Amino acid sequence: MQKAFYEQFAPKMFAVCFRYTSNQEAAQDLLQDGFIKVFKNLHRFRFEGSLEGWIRRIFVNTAIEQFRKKSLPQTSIGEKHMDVADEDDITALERLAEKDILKMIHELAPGYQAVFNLYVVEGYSHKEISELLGISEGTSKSQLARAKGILAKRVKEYLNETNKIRRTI
Amino acid sequence: MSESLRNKLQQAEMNPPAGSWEAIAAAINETPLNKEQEIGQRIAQFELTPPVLAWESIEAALQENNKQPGKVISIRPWYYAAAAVAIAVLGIWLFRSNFSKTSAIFAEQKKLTAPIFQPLTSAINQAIEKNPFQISSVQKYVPVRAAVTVQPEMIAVSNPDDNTEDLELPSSDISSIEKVTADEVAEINAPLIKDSKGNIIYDTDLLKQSIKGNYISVTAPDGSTTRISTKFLHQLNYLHTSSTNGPAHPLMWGKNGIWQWQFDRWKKTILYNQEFNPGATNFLDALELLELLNEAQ
Repeated sequence: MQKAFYEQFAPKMFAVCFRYTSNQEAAQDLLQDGFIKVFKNLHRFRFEGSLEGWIRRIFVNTAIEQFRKKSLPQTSIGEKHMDVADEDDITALERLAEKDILKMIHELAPGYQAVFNLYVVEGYSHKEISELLGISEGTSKSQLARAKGILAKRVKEYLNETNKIRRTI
Repeated sequence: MSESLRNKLQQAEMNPPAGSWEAIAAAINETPLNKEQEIGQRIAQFELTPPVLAWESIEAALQENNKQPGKVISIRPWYYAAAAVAIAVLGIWLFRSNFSKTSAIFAEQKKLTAPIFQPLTSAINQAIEKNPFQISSVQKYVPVRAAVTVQPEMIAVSNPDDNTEDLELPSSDISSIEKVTADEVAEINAPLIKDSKGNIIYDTDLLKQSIKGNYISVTAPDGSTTRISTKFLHQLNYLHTSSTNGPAHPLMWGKNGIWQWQFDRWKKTILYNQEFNPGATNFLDALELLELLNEAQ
């Protein structure tokens, strides 16, 4: 019964875990922690919204808990001086395949990764993000801007590379 | 402005020009914010195949997790509470046991010493003050020879490895002690021995005892008999032997050990407070005492 449940939701939840972590092992650990929480709290689900949405919230909250435990917002400071591209360039992500997008988010520094995921994917406001991660609203905004800039830059580089390869072929 | 005019203006409606919505919708779709939302929604739907062994580890963790609540919530607090109660009870019991034992020993010690030695010493001293060398005049206060029925286990109490020096009491030869009963009349078999200050020296010959059931009858010089428990036989026997070395504190010796310590203390007090301490049955001591008496005269 539990395994069937797991098999139904594992692929989507593993994608969530992958987005909030920096390596495969950490993603697997998060998957495990998330499913344990889901199974322990399944009786609390009130059938008021979608089950998938409820499970996703648990996974996101678990990821945030782990992020806060590690106190990682500062880790993004290392990328502070990177060139920040124009925000509009993030739309270029649309041109990438799922796996490539996930990989790029996965490779972001944890601070940028968390803010980007929470704002862009989960739809939280900066105020909510600041409360969730224990950072200021301003930090949340600047982290998001830098995350977008890094992603845009990498997408651009990636597209340039693929274009070059196509031309040579 | 009248109220009716204000209401009119607030409720007024006007159709927008044709094509307004299309323009607005196109503008909304073009905004980066909207694009971001689209990308976000798309990313949210992504799927990724988890590792093959992921379920096994989750299953194992779930089984472990199911065992933990019992330990954490119910067993541990009870375990610690029970342990704390057990330690507290044991501690109180040990304290009370030791305290009552010690109290009982010293209470019995008081009972034992008071009737025998104190009246004896004061009575003899008074008699000697009247006539120091007329022993016959204080006959009824003079100590009687000890009569101890010696049992093998009593003798075994004395420590053969004892190295104590200069602590021998005026001793009686246990094997030569004659057996008498508590009802027998006291007799004078030895001269009175006193120290330089004129106080009568404690003499084991003061003791006259007979064993009846669980009690020993000890007769004082004035003929009065006191019954004490046979459990003090070891201590009586100890008076005839040298002291033994025990642990650092008397409470560590047990009941007999405390008595032994107490008798040892008395013995030392007696020995150190007198210049000469002759034994009542030692012929050489008797001669030396005679010399001393002659010198005094």
